[in-house]
Amino acid sequence: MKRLWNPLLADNIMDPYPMYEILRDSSPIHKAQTGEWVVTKYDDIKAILQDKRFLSGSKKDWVKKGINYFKNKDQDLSQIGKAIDTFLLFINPPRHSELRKLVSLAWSNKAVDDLIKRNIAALLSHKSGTIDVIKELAQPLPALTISGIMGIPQEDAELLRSKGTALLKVLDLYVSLKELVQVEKSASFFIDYFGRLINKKQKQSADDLTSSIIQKNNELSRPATQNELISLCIFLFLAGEETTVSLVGNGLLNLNRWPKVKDNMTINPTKWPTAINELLRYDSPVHVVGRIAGTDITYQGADFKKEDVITLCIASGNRDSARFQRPDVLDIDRKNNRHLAFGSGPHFCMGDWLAKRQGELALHAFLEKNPMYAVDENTMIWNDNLSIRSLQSLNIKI
Amino acid sequence: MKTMQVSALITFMQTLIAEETNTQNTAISTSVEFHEFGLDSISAMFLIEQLEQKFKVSISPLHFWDYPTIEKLAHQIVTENT
Repeated sequence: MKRLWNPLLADNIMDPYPMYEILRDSSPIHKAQTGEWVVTKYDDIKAILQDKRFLSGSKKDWVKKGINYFKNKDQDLSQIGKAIDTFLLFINPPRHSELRKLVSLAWSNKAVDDLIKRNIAALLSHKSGTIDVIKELAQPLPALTISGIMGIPQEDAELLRSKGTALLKVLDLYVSLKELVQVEKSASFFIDYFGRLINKKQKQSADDLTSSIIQKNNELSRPATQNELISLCIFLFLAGEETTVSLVGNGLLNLNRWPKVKDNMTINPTKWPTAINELLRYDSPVHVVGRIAGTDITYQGADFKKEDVITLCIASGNRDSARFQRPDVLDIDRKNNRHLAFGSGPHFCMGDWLAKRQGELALHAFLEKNPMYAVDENTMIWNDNLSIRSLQSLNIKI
Repeated sequence: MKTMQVSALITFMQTLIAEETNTQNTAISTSVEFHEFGLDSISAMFLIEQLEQKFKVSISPLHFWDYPTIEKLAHQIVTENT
């Protein structure tokens, strides 16, 4: 029997868009063999993201069940539960609104631009020949930037980034026990690291986001506990990591695949703010997010039962021809580009500004320095993480 | 890997599922879908891990749903590994 939902097939890891197109055309609200609903059209994804009857945290519930199940088999996965406990994308009101507000009170855009530019300049200096832009630019940049923002020593950025890649596997749809054991090790490391960082900032405050969160938290009527703060800080560190790797890496790849756009951007760098939105639509970093039906819901003829899991294919919605004209064309002059790359509704990404700014500055600087760059697609490797579509390796001749 | 037998895989899965569900091996039909035994995505991870260790193979997490009975999964594993 031919299945419509085959996200782990090697061809679909390389390019999932044909699979999304078939789903949109033949079964846009699809009850997959895995039991979950797979939603692929723009309007449906947006409606569900904005509908309060659909809750966040399907993954967190699943992890909780997994921790209990494997406890009886002498496999301790409890640190994963602790590490992801207050990840903003997994929690619901009222705690979601309270912690989200805490972050926005503590956040400041000031001086971030200079920090990003300094990091890019340092990463791009003295480079020649063929370089792997994922390892040389896309991976280190967001780690250095968020470390600077959060007051984490720059020398720890790379270690945290590599451990973070392992922890992020928890977001994936279908993981193996082996992978979960790696996630547990990484979770343990992060809890320890951020526990110590927060302790340090509590004793000695500095001009950084972590200190500011601690300070604002003390003013709240229902302040976050130490464990909640640790999980929240882990989330803030990780949220912009692999997503930015994706935006920069996929961006360089897609510009290379669309040479006229690449030339256009070389000549007209003022177009970057709109171009970055089109790159986000065309190949969105976050491909899927999950929701749970909070109650029995009938939607567009589908009967969602309470606790049914719904997988929203954001990247598919962004290629929906019912919403976007010529959706498979990378068109940097696209008007009214209301893509779903950062979600919609109460969980709309808080880091959208930072993500866009880093993507824009990195791609602009790279293209300005290397306008004739050429990608070697034969050696490129995609990660097999379904929730975030990013490259593991992308060799570019500069 | 050539020596891998469908029957060995089937017996191993029957034993595991019987243990999971507190029933006799003989009560575990090879043509009934896994979810009907009460197995879910979490016990699937355990089942797959045990199979991988015992038979020294690598199995996609989605196989649990794509080949959702003992018989189908056993045949698929043998096909992929011979």
